[in-house]
Amino acid sequence: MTENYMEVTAPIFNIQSYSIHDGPGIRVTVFIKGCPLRCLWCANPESNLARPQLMTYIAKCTGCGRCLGSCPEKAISIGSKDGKVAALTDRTLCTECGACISSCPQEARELAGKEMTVRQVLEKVERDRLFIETSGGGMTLSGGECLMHPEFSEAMLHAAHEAGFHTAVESCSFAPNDVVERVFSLADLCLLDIKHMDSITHKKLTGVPNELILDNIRYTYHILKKQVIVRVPTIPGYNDSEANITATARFVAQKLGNDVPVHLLPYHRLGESKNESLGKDMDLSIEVPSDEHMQWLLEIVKNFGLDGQIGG
Amino acid sequence: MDTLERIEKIKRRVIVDRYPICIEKFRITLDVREHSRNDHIMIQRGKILRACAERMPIAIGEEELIVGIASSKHMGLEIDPDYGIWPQNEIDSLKADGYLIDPQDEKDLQELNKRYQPDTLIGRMGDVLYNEPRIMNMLRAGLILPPWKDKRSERGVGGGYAQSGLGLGPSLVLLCVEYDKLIKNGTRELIRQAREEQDKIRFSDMEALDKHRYYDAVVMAFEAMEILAGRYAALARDMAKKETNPERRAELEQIAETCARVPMYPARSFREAVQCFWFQVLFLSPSTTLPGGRFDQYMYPYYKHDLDAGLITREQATELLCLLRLKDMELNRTSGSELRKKNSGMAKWHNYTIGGVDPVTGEDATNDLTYMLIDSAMITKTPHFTLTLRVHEKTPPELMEKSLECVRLGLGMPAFVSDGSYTATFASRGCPLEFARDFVMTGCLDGNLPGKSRTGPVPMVTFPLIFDIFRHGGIDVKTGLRVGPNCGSFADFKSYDELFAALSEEIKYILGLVCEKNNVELAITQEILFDPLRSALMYQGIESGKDTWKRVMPFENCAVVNPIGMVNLGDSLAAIKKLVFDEKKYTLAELQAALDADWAGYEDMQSDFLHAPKYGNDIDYVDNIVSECYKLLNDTVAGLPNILGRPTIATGISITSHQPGGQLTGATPDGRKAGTILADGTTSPMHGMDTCGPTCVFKSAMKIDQDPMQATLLNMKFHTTALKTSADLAKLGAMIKAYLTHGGKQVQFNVVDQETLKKAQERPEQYRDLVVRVAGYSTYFVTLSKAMQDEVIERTSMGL
Repeated sequence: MTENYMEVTAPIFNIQSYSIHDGPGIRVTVFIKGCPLRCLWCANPESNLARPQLMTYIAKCTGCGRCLGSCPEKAISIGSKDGKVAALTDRTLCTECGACISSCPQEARELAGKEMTVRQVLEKVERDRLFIETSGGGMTLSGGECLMHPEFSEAMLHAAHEAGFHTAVESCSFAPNDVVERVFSLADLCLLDIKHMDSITHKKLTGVPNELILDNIRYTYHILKKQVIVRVPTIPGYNDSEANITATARFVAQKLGNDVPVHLLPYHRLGESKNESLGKDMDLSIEVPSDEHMQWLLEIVKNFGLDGQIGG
Repeated sequence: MDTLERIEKIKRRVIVDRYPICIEKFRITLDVREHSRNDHIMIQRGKILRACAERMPIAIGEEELIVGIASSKHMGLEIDPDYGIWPQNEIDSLKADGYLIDPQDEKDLQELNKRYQPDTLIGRMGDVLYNEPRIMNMLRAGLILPPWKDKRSERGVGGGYAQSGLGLGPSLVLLCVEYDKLIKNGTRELIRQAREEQDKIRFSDMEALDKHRYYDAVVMAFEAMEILAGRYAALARDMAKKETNPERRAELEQIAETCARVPMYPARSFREAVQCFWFQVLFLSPSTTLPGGRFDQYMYPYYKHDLDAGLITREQATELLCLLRLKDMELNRTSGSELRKKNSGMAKWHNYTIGGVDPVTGEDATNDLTYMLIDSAMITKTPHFTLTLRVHEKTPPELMEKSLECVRLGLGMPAFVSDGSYTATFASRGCPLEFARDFVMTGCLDGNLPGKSRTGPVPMVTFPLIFDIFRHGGIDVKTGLRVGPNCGSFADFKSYDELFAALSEEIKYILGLVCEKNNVELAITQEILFDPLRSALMYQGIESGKDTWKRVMPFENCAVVNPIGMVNLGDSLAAIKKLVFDEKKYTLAELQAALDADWAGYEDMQSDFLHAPKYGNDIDYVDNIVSECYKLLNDTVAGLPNILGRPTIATGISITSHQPGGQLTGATPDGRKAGTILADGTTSPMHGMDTCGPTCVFKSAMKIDQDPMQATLLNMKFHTTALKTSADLAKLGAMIKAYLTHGGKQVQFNVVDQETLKKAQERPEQYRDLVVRVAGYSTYFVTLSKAMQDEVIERTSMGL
């Protein structure tokens, strides 16, 4: 690790305080931009690219037009969207320079992602120390994908430990083995996703096959001896079949160990409105899974003698 | 009968849409007054209590086990004779607001009004203050809510009170008696003590005569309680004789036996203790606030005794608590139309304090009753009475979780308060620690010591309005009246410090007027609102021989000052400091023009001021200014003595005053438009301005020194999504405890989703039992004004 590790930077798009579903206790979750996967249902599409991205919120926009003159590319015009008069951004012209942001009195425009140093991020985590310590919480690195920024992630986890914080990573585990070792060995807890057990389907859904991912999870558990929780984002129609959940649970029970819990994370629609904010029109028409369905899937997991829960 | 069935049946009777207005007590009171014109006021009030006990209708409802009704009609509100007459326009306004009044009663009331010249607190205050423009201008500007209007027939601020209860005022008090005194001793013993003290009197000083009368009145008050209990015992016996169902007959016989025993003699069982408690409540009502004190503490020995002796099960005791909750639903109140706006939604401050520490040992005092009181709230799902949990380092995590389960139901209770911070408030000024550790909630969240302290006037002072007046050289622009001194031309201040110093002068001057008004109110309370029962049930109330308002109590806080919109003032000052003095982007002259134009034509400027740092985001720049503002308030009132010669104390609840307070206030430099709502509570951020989550809000609030204040109020609204699993509850519990053991004083939660609230607004008839938390009380959402409903919907929702 570089001596100057406190000054290492990464593009950060959110630092979420009072995170209660990303590991034990009350946590501060740090979201890093940039991800090697492109999951169809992505809940944080603003994290896909490592560079800053313009987000616009039509619901907040009053159509006042003050942003029009601020754009050097003349990409903004007043138009109608879903029956509402609003400032619309022509994404083919927009360079995501961010000039329009301060012109908006409604805070309807924002640039997702900002280069931050480890020191700056740690300062934010430090502010919640009282609540982290009294609840047995810590810091969680999420994304995007922390493995895309190994130097930063390594430095960040190290710095958090130095400051006495419990650390966790949320990861897709898609990276060369040495990167996984470099980052995960500094985490107290690894929350690792398995999106599909069939590699071909996995590639269809996420853009990459799953062999490397499964190898890395095994490596993390058996060689790095890390506490692992396997998480399955449960997306109706994509990976919520009995067969896939059974295969996932079997993998955990047989290739990992019975002390690895499985968390089934029900699909939510936050990603859809974020896609709209990024100027991407997507109509996935994915239904939020019913409680009964989730319970049924949980039963499958439990039948393998695994500890499981719905939600993180 | 099955417990749940009994509770459901009674619940159906006590959740009603419309409340009848009754005039029986008004009639009785006037009758007694006519026949006792020559009696001293103390004796007169004793006689009124007795007449009410003798003549008010009584009834025992089907399924009831705890008995005693508080007005002449089911769920009725009695016109309170000591708070002014109800002129026709007020009666019409009541009817327009959905209250029922019997046509004959209305006619009778008009006749009684003709004969009655009420001698009221507000009337007597008006007699003095209308001739004091120095103070009256401040009142007419609305610096104390609601604004006083021109002198009218009913003298001063319009309308009286209608409230259920058999007792007499002063009803505008934050006071908790020592309930256990009567439960332990019984009226016979207390009457004996009173007579014994009376016998010791020698007529050798000015106070002797009043003391002598005091004891006569105290005895009459206790006798009134005996009379009423005796009537209930007889009624229950009669009903038992006629009852054909053997199960119900046995219940009625037990009611008869209980009422023959208490309150006359010491309670021997949990059931007798609860019934004795309820008789006290009936005679302490009407009261704007009626706290239950540390119910889980003083009732526990009775429960434990019965449980150990095999006389009661936990389930039976919980049923009695449920029945007590439903009884409490029968106690209601309303006020004149102006005051109704201030206290939206049938405000009713019946606050029971649970948990906390043992006053002597300082150890955790949680017991079975603590949990059972929460259980009973979760069973009845009624908004009253409210629960407040005292939290300290050793509060069991299971109790935190149980409390949050109740919060999750959407009842908005319990609220969570800090043992440490409240104890620190009361342990100051020489009050012993073991007294301070016994603090309870009176009113919303105002702490008081049961029997050992009490608060009268709670003036709601809108601080952004003081700022408005300050920047206009001491003139209130709405009324054109001079309210305070000209502390300097707003456009000419050269530095932030200079501006803040001048504003401080304005604030100090106006707080001086507020405390003078408090003192007038207290002095007149001493003159006419004598209350023998409350006074006797206070600490050493019999030994003292004095009405509680004439005594210096172990902790003296007889009057307080309550700031409204302080966070808006702090946010405003921070915006000025940043944009005018640090960045020099605007001048004060430009700001003055923009504010006077209500930002019209200055939209870009408004946007800059809106985007200046705001309290609630853990930003020292602004949080420190808010904290300075509170320090200024606390330090200032500490130097303003009340009529008992003790310093005034600040408290910090807003009830719903941030709406009318905002209505009276022009545009403010935090970017707010004129006439719009202000921040609620004391430590809540301005709604919509906190953007980094609950820990940031807590961190901001912890920078305010909350210990000197009698209460603070922080509202948080959580989406149900943040409270799904027991792990979620445990984490929230940990956060609450961290806040309350590190400088925070109070926090409370609304758990609803916005969709539900919006639907309730559209179709109120389908959401009659939707409970929300407004300030220190929970209430039915559909009973709130439209503006308050909107505010509840808008309050930042912290779903994750």
